[in-house]
Amino acid sequence: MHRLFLLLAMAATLAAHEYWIDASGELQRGHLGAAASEHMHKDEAVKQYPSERYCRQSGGVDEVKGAFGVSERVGAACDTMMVILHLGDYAKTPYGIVAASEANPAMVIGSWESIESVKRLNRLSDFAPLGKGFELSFSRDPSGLEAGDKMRVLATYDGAPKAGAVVAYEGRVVGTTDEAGRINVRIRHAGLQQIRATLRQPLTNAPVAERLYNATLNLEVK
Amino acid sequence: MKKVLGGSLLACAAAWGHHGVPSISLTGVDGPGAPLETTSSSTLPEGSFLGYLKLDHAKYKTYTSARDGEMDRTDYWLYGLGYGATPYLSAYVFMPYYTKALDDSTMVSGFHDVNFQVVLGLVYDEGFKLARKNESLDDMEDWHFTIFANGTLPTGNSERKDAGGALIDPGMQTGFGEPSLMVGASMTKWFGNAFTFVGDCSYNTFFEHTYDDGTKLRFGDEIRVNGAVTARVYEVPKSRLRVDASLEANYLYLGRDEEDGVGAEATGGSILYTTPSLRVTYKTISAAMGVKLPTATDLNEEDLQQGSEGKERYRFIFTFSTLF
Repeated sequence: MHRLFLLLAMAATLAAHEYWIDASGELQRGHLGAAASEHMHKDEAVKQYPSERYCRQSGGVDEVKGAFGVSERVGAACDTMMVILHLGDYAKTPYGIVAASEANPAMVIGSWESIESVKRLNRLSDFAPLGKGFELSFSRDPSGLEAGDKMRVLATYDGAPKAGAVVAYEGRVVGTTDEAGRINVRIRHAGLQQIRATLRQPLTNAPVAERLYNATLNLEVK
Repeated sequence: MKKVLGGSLLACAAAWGHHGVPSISLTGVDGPGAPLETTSSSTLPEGSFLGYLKLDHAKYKTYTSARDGEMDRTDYWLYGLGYGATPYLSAYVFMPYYTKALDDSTMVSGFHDVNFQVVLGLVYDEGFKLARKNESLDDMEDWHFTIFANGTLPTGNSERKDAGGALIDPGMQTGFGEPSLMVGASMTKWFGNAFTFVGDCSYNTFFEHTYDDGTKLRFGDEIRVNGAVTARVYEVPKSRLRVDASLEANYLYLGRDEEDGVGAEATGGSILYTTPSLRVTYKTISAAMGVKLPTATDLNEEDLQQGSEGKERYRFIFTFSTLF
């Protein structure tokens, strides 16, 4: 449980800007408040990142690789769509977070490679993991989910459960996943849901100290 | 007077043994609060230990100016160690140390009977389930329950004698002389914000003991019903520091003692206490203090029960616990 608090600060930092996929299938980045479905807005970030995009429909998964950025369409008529963005290497210095390549090695407090995945369920019964990278799913069918209900969220990496991921709902950390990669999250409101998780992987013999995965799960609740 | 010792020990064992500290320590600055006297519905994390210390200092009303043996004060220290055997089952052992002082300078002190406790944790989440290993904050909003059982073994001294060789009052002894048993249950509801409601009830019973002088005594059964509201009033999330304020209502029913099979005079009755308190939690350390005040009493022989529960001016209570 202590891990929750150790990671809380990092989770909060990462939550400064959030990614989500809107109803039209576009990737968005900005500040997504508690009343997400009513108050979302876009920021001006327009940068292309190496990416993998996935669209699952009728059980089949299409994969597209290539540069991708905010306000671009992840998918259209997908039951489930997901994009993985390789945001690059970063370093924390006394003067802020900068690209690792720009940091003075003598001033680096911490460094990491940032990988962001954003997934949207358009058809809630298609809730199983895609099995691609770090992602959030449900462990049972969320169809019929209503505000006030509690759901079991599943964190996986390439389909395998991941323990110790810090999970937040609407920006509020609710806990860490157990050995089976599970945690219960209560849906607080109707509309667009924003469930996020952070996973850290220490690296050795690498330019940065760790790899930091962030995963977002979006779905609409009536 | 006889009820003071027995009643207070069982209160220590049942209500103080595990009241909520683990949940606060585990949850840090968020999660349910824990009152001072009312038992909250927490179990220890699997494989974790809890060290526990409690002081209950009671000051009694006296009715004469003479030094005539009225109960003046008691200090009940409780040392405890808990272990989380599973996420839903915790076990504790408590060692009480009591000091009882009369206004004529008579004082008795020593270790009382060792107390063992087991706690079973339950949660209501689409039905009753055993307490879970990895709870999210959203899980903590579910109704939580515990069922607990206590037992004491007669390791204390129940045969203390005065300078003249006469057996002192059983209420002044530092042991029951026989085992005792208690069962109880608690419920906790955290509302997902600053407020938590906690309630518990318990029943305990004593076995008849025959003293060296041939007197047979059975302490009366006891029933406790407690309710508390706790509010988080201050927090520093980065430092994992929080302060909670609690207000409790503590009801205690004392059955009449039986001496040689006959109901003993000046024993038994009902008391309702009000207990305001503050708790400070820093990381896995928690300290709480409060004052327990008898608000309403209905004792069997009110005028003769000086030194009994319900006849305190106040009880000052302090607890400290740490999880490791």
